[in-house]
Amino acid sequence: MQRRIRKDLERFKRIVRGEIRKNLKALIESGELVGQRGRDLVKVPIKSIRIPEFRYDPRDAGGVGAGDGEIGEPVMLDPDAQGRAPGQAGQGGGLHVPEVEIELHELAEILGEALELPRIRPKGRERQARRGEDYADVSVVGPESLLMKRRAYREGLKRQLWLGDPDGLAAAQLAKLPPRLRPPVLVTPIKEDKRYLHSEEVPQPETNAVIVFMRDASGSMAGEKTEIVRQENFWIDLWLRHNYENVERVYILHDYEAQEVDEKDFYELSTGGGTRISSAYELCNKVLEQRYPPEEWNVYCFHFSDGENWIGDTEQRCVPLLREQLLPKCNQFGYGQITLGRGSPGLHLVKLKEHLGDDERLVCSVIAGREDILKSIKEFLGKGR
Amino acid sequence: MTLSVEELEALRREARRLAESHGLDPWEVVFGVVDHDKLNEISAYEGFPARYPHWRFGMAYDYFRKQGAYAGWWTYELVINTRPAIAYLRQSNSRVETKGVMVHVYAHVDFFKNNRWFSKTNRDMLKVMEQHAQRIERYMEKYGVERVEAFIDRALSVQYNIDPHAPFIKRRWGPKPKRPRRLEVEGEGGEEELELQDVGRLPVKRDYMERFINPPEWVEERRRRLREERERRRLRDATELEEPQKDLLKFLMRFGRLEDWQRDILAMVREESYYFVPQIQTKVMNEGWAILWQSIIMKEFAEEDEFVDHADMVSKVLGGGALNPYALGKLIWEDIKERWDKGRFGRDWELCKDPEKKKHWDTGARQGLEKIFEVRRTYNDLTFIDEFFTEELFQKISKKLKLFTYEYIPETGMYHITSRDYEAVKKKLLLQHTNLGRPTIKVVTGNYGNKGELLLIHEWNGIALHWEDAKRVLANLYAMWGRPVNLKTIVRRKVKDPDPARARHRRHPERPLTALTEERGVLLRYDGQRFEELELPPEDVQDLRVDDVDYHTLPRDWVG
Repeated sequence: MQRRIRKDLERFKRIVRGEIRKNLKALIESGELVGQRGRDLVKVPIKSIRIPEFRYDPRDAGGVGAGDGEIGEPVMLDPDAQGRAPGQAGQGGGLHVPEVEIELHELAEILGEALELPRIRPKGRERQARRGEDYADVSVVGPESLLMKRRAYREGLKRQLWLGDPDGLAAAQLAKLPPRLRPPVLVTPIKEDKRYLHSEEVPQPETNAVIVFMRDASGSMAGEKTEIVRQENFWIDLWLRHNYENVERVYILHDYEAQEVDEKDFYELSTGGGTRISSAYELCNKVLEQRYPPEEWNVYCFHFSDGENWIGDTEQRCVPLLREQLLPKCNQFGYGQITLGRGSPGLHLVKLKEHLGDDERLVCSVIAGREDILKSIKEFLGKGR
Repeated sequence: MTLSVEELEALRREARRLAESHGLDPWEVVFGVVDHDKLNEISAYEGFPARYPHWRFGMAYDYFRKQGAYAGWWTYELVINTRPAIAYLRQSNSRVETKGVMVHVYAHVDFFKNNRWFSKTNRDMLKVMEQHAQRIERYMEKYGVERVEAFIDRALSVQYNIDPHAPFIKRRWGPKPKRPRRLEVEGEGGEEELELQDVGRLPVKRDYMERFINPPEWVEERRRRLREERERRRLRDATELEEPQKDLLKFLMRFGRLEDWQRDILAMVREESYYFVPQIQTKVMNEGWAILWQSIIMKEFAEEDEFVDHADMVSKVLGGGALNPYALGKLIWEDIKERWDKGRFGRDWELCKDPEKKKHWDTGARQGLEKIFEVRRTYNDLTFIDEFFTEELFQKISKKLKLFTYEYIPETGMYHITSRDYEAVKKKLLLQHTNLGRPTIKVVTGNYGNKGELLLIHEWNGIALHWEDAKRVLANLYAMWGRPVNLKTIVRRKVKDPDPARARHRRHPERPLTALTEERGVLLRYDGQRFEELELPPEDVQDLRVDDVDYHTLPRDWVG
């Protein structure tokens, strides 16, 4: 028989999915989800799931906190999460979960269902063993990033006690004193004390994808337009990561010249120069050739700009580059032209379509504002390539 | 690492013996060993092996699972207030963790058994919860899962609109004394005239004309209607309460326009709420009590190679700041014990103003143990904090804990630190523990405006309601009441500062500034279609004001 709690979980998930689907457009446009992303979870602020009660307005009730700060200083806190302690449960009163956290792949599924996105059929390639994600085990060797610090200190303290180390011995006796009278104890974990999280190696076939995000960084793209790029990329990234085991990302910013940057800079940097889109496409091509050979990687490129380009650059350099180099390497090349409702969009899109319109690996989308994000995501991902 | 049943039983015996040797007096405890997934499930069910089907348990389960998988914390112990008490041990707990949890559990059960606020709880709740689950499952089969679950959602939105003190005192729940009816005082002959008037029989001069002028079936129909009308009036009168009452769920059960199964669900939700209330009312005390005794007893119980691991376990439980009920409770309990051991109480202590003398005060009273056992018998969190969260204790811990109060400033959109004073912190703590930390809502009448509408009042202690939630609750109430619902409350609105002298402060850069506000009486009404907010004159809401304490801690010079 199916466990009761599983059914309750199913019901809950169905409600969450329903609410997200109902509010997907608003959630996408407001950009609320983008800032909420953790490594595996995304917080979804859906108030309607909460059972309403007569309660104080937290903004009128204020509260008590602990920590440093001058009077008048703002404090960062989440009043809904007050008074919660670890290791306790079941003491009645119900549990208030301020936000629903859902796993990224769940959100991707919802997106897929809502937009009726076809599953991508990856150019499947068997690849080598992959290290599992479950760190279920503990090992005495491992990388420092997986060091269990608390555990190491505990082992260190124990060792010092056993060895009769003066500092450690003092700790044993002083433990009985009230905490404020205790001098600090120095514990220095040595190699033998260290414990590391350890994961089993599980051989699994793997599919790889690389996404190359490109953005025009010239001044005219700042502000709202960049925000739109961020939203687009979040959802594209989410969907592709849902479809591939292993996704790598490359960020390329360009004005007159192009450079590879990290994710943070990609959205934050802005330059004053002119625009020469072919510089980005050239760099993109170089990166692919050097690091992501198409026989091993599913390649996705997305480029966003406002459509303005150096005179002649689109026809003379971009189009041949795309036709001969980039498109053959790509599963798909997406170009999003963000016009923000301006009457005269740049000509890059028009010319791409004119010269390459018959190539189905190229997808062009016009984004006039936030309300178009959903539509353009569907255009980009709707082909299932 | 897993312990055998024999080992567990040996540990349990020893834990119980130690607990009793320290004066704890717990009921029998049945321990169950479960894996972490099962523990998450039981946690989601608030300690019970089974509850009725509802999505919120799934939400809680999902939450606990993710806490375990991603945040690395999990439930250590889980014990329910039944007789015998039932507690769960996590399979993967180490030996020392098991010891700690057992002692902790015995302290909780001692509290359940001996604290007065638990004296009226149903100790057979295991069976009750199981029956609730069966009944609700049956309703779901009969009326559909969606429909029943939607009704449970509505009922839950008023689940704590009950009267926590009701088990201990007798409330006068009668209707208002009847208004004397006009015709009843007219004495003889009145009855017949009433019949004539109300039935609407026309006077007949000649008897043989009676059945033509007042046909019997018509008269009978009129009589039936009259009886119905009287019954309705009687019910309406019954809903006009003599005094406003907090037990809204009881009121709905009695007078709401509900089907029997819906009434039954309200009864179940209410019963479960009354069961959980003492646990909410004593959380700080109870958790503090358990961790206090765990720390004391483990000094004997832990073996030499275990106490480091135990200290680590305790520090995890106590972590997370001063508002962690374990930590706050433990600090207060320790302080009470120290004070009564050193005679730091009574008139002499209160009157002494010399801080040096107070610092070294020790009369050798040694009454600490006695005192804490007395306190655990009669107090709840509100009285506990009110009496024992003293200024001395606050000063003692403030350097380490750095407590502060905060308020929201709409102009900056953020919470700001407003004070680090004892009074301010205590005020906020008391607010959090008064009436389960919830606003006081009372039902006044089910015949508001003589139209069968529901009227609730929000007793105003200066803190406004969460407006969106209040509206959604009213919509739920409408569905259960079947007629328009009204809520009298007070809201705070921005006003212009009448004092122009303060305008110049507005450019003060060093502190946040907020606009002056004013309190206005409001009647929030929902008629099934839309919400109305009617402004009420001040005299109409005067009797809503109940508390002289101003719970706000905003410095005066921030306003203007």
